[in-house]
Amino acid sequence: MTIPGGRARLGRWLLVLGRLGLAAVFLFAAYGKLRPVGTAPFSAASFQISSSSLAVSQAMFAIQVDSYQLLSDRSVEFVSHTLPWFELALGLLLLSGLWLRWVALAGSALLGCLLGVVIRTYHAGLGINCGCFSPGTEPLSGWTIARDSLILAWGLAVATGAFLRARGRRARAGESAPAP
Amino acid sequence: MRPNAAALLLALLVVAAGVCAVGTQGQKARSVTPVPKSPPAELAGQKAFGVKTAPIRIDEFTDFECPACRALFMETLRPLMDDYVSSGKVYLVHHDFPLPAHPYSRPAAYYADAAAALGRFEPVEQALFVNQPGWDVKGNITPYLAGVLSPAELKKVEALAGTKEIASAVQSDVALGQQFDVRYTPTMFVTSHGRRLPSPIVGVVSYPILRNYLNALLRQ
Repeated sequence: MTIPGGRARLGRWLLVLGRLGLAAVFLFAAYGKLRPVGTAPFSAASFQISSSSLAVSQAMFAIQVDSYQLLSDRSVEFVSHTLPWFELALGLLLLSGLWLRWVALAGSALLGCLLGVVIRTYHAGLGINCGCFSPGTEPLSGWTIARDSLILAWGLAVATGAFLRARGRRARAGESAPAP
Repeated sequence: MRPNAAALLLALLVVAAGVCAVGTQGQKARSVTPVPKSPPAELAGQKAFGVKTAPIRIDEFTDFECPACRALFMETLRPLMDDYVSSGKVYLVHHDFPLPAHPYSRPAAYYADAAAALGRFEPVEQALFVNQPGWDVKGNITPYLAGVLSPAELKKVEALAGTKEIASAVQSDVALGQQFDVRYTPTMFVTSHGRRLPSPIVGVVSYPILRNYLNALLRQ
């Protein structure tokens, strides 16, 4: 039989694991978009990011964003220059655990938007690459939708866990507060 | 956290880790595809534009009946030819990749390759893409070629288009595309300063976005 304290500890550990896993997803997504084009993943060269390699990576990612045929050229440039850094920031914040509820919620909102775009494009029958984790290596397919849905569910689970934990803390703080 | 939520989170973690691992393996497998041999050199040369020594080479796999290929040709490749191919910065190579879903794309590729054998690929390619909405319903291609070829040239192209050599040249391009793992048209492979980049450009890309990419590659 599990005692309530044990359940709470398990919940805390699962939340930590979920948060770190989600951080890894965002960090991997950012790394895939920012690493020099043509370098093997996790090779030493893939971490040697310079201003010229970054310009190529971001221009390549812009091509990927443009292939969805949803945005104007200016919006494509904006998204391709900001999204990888936003993913990096989300990954680092999840890693640190700061403002977990809101960061997990923002991450889930981003994942939801991206999943919506992927589903719409897949149903429109556009034969393009996903560009989710690195540009130009993964054709958009049912598999992409299944994987992205799973990651969204994961993000929502972490956000829910973070909100429940915060509520529990508030409740415990209320119980222990002295009566007026 | 309630135990049910905790169990759900744990299950999600395990499944997602497995799913990500499988996806990464698939990408690794594709990236080690060997570089295939080219189709017959003399004909391939007639379907290429620019100078071979250009710092950037683009291998484009296209289908004359595919609307996205037409859009890419009209909106992106034509200005690319004017700004980058003519100035010696880009060497653009056309490869035929007629999709089975398009009944007239293979005959169109035969005409284009036959015209290439006569050194008249460029006007025929343009005529095929510009007039695509006119011939892609019934396959009446030759009237549109008559506008860019002389009667004598058209006669030769019609005769050549039915030969085994031309069919074999188109098939060589298709085989090359299959070895490159081409799944959709248009697909473009970029080689920058002698190094083929592993990320192909799939689908339509607007010219300003492609231009930024090429400029970034040229600055490297």
